Formats: sequence, structure tokens, C-alpha cells
Amino acid sequence: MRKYIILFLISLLVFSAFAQDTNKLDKEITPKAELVLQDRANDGGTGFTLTFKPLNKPEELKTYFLRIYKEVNQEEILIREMKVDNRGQTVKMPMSVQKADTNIIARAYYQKDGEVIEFKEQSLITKGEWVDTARLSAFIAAILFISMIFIYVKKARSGEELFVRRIPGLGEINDAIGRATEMGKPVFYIPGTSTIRDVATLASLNILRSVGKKVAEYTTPMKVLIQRPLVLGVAQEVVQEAYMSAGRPDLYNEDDVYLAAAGQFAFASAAQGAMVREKPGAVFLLGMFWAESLLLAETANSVGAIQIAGTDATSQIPFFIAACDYTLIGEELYAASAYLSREPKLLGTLKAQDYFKGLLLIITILALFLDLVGVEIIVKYILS
Amino acid sequence: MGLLAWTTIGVILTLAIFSFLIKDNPLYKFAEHLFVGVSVGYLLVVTYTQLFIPRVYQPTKNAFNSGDIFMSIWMIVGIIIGIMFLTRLTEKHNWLSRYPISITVGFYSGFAIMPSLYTRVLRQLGATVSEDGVSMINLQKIGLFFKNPSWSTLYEATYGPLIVIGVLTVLIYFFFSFKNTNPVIKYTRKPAMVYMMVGFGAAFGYTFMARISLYVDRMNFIINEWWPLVRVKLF
Repeated sequence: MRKYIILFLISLLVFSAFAQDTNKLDKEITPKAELVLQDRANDGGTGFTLTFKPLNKPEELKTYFLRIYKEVNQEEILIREMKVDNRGQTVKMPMSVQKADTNIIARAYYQKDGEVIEFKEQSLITKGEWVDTARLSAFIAAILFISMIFIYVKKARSGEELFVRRIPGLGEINDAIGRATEMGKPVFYIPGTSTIRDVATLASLNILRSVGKKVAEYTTPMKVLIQRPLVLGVAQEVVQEAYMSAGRPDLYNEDDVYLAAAGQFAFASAAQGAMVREKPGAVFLLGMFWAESLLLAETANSVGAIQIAGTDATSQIPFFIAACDYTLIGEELYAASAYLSREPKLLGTLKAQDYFKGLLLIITILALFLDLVGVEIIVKYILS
Repeated sequence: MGLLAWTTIGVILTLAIFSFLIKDNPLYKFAEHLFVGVSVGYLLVVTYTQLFIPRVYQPTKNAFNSGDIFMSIWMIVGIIIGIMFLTRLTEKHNWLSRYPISITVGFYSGFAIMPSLYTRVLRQLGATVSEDGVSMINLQKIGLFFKNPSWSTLYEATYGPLIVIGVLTVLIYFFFSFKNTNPVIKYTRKPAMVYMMVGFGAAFGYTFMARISLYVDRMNFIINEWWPLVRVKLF
């Protein structure tokens, strides 16, 4: 009997050893994950999205590693390396490379006994598209708007009367220049502190043409203070042309249109200094402004100048309203050049802009009503 | 000692600029001219190191070295257009500078059309109609307010409609083709002005606080940085 008991215990020991081995096999991890590389639609061929979905339970495998390479001249260059903590969630990463048609290789790794082992690989060649279909509505809107501009410019050129309502601040431009002339003081014009690419700067340079013409007619000295080198060249051209169209090219002095300073606050201090020393009779602050707006407006006020300001920077309009005599709010700045010059091209553009806005207003109201009854067609296909 | 000297110069320049609040004076003039000179010099160095070298010189050199003819021609054309701008310095050929100016203005004007239409017009109007798929005029939220009137339900019910009314009236305000006596313009003018002034008032307060923080920063520099340094080094 004792013999059987001993044999039974030995066999139990042997089986328990086997059982331990079986546990070891169970704990042997097979890393599983979904690794997907997807080319980004509607781009120039540089964007792609990496999607990684861990398929192991977090208690099985806590961390994965990802390495993304790009192939250049048959050589793999690492572009990103990251650790992904397994929380059972899918990770999506939008990424980009510099060139289209780049071969992208993504590899997933896991760690075992301190060694990093690769278990999955995906590759993709990024492709570009000629047409961004997501922005088709904007493209159609642009075509429509440009067509409207052509139609109204043609109408304006044919001599048709195009009505533009009175814009209060603009009526005062002549009075301000007249006042400066009577006082024998110069006129200061600052076309904002932004670059030439800014729409407000372009609008301001258009107004500068009208102001320059009027100033030349009145033979009043005018100083144009500029912060950006490229704007300087354009402003000089505009003022010279304005003096010529007024029949007074002899009055134009290139040095009156000058680069006051390059930095934002350096420009502000230079303009403040110039205002205090030359005491202008009228100051025009038209264009894009940032934090320097109040500094300029307050200084112009302290020297007793009439100030006409205008900007499309919503954060600066309040300062101009508080410190200046007349302020052009937002779009009034764009309308100003057409209002002042009555040029067919600008008037036609302003009219087209108005009717396009009207069309958008109707579409928005229609979209609101349709949205109320659960039809999202306009929001989905036009306004998104 | 070097740190104390530079910090003291910073304090003197700060006070020199502030002295303008009393009146224009030689100290302010000195600080102003120094500031202007430094900014122009800085711009020159930045343009050379961050624009000319990496965007002009290096790509041209690389194009020539790698024998990329297309890129070389492209770079040379760009450089010639850029150099044309310098003809402003001559009286005889300054008309040439109009070409780079017109190219730049034309490019940026054209380039601005699509992003402006897409982000500033269409998407903004889309957000006026619905936000995250929820209609801005939400009858359920309005109904909830009448069922259970409270500040939070009132806010939820009026938030969307107030934005919609604001956008539409302010948009009508900026129509320039109709007379001020036109009934639509006449009756939306005042609400639009109220909306804008409320917005401007909020922006004024917000930006004013930002300006105050700039002043606080300067005072902090003088009181908490410079003065302790003076006390440690000199007393």
C-alpha cells in the first residue's frame, strides 16, 4: 500500500511539473495588432495616416513600439519612432513627408527579454491628387464670385450708375486733408504694419492713391510711414502715380515714403517720435494693425491731429473707435477705395461682393430652415 | 558684473521709453533711434541667415552641384526677379522693380482667394447653421427652457439663436449697395451696431488686460530682477 502511495505522490509531482510547463506555454505571447497605412485623400501626395490597433489584452502585452521609415535612394530613413501603451484603443496618427510618391514603411515591434522584436510591417507609396474634391464647394463659389466681378465691372465700364451708400468716415477724408492744409501741417499716412499679402494692406494702398491725389491737389506735404520693405516699394509707386494723376509730379519726394523701422514696436516708437516732432494735421491709420494701434492713435490724438482709422483686425477696432475721430469698421475699409475713386473696376468688385454676400445670406437662411427639419444637404455639401 | 551692467541698460532704456509719457525728450529720442537701428540690423541678419542662405544660396548651390538643370533655371529666374527689385536704387531702370512687385501682389491676391472663401466664409457660415452636427436653432433646447426655466436652460436655449441673429444682422450691415432708408438695412442697423459694440467692448477689455500684463512684466523686470541684482552686487 505504501508503495502505491509513494508512486501516486511521485506521479502527482511529475504531472505538476508538466502542468507548470503548460502554464509557461500559455504565457508565451503572440503579439497581435492591426497596422494600417493609408494615403491621405485630396492632398499633394505628402500626407498619410497611420492606424494602429492593439489586439492583445493590456495584461498580456503592455507596450508596443512603432518605427516609421521613408525610402530615399533605396535607403531607409527613420522619420518617427514611438511607444504605444496598450489601452485597447486604436491610435490614429496623421503624418507627412516632404515629397510625393515616397515609399513609407511602418514596422511594429514588441519587447521580449529586453530584446525588441519586429512582428508586423506595412508599406505605402504616397500619392497626390490633382483636384481636392473636399473643397469643390469653395471652388464653385470662387468661380461664381469671379464671374460676378466680371459682370459688374463690365456694367460699371459701360457707364451704368452703380450706387454705393455713404460711408461716414470716408466723407471726412477731404475735410481732414483740408484742415491740415489750412493749418500748414503735414498729413501722415500709415498703411498698417502687415505684409503685402494682407488684404487690408492692399485695400489701404488703394485708399492711399486717393489720399495722395487729394494731397497733391492741395499741395500739402504727406509722409507715408512703412514697416515692411516690400510694402515700401508698392507705396512709393502708388504715391508717385497719385501725384502724377493730380498733375503735380514735381511735388513727389521719394523720401517722404519711407521705412520707419522694421520691428513692430520699433516702428511704433519711430512713428510716435515722428508725430510728436512734425505735428501732423491729419493722421490716416488704415490697414492691418496689432498691439501698436493704440500707441499710434493716442499719440496722433495728443498732437491734435484729426485721425481717420480703419482696420479689419477685430481686436484693434475697439482701440480705434475709442481713440480716433472716424473709424472704418472691417469691410468698410475694403469698400473705401471703391467709394473714393469711383473706378469702374473697384466699383464693379464692390457690387459683386455685395450680391455674393446676399446670395450667401439667402443660402444660410435656407440652410437654417432645412436644418430645423433635419435636412442637412446645404451644410454638408455647400457650407462645409 | 556683466549681467548687472546689461540689466541696468535694460532698465534705463525701459524708463527712457516711459519718459515719453511726460513729453518728447533726448532720452526718448536716444532709445527710439537705438530701437529702430537694432530692429533694422536684426531684420538684415535674420533675412540673410534665415532667408537668403537656406532659401536662395543653398538650394541654388545644391541644384548646380547635383546637375538639376530645371531647378537651376528655376532658381536663377527667381534670383533675377528678386534682383529687379533693387533697380529702385537707379533712376534709369527703376521701372523694372514693378515686375517683382506685380508678381508678388498678384500671387498673394490670387493665393488668398481659396483659403479665404473656404475658411472665412463657407465654414463660418456652416458653423452659424450647426455646431458639431447640432442645429444652432435648436427647438428642443428652447422647449426645455419653457418646461424647466433656469439660467442654464436659458443659456442653452438662447446661445444658438443669438449667434444666428448676430451673424445675419452684422452681415446685412456691411451691404453697401442699398440706401440706409431701405427697410431691411434700416431695421437691422441698430441690432447690428449693438452686436458689434458688445463684441468690441469685450475685445477692448480683453486686450487692455493684455497690455496691463505687459506693463506688469516691465515693472516685474525692474523690481524683481534688476533691484535684487543691484542689492546683491553693490550692497
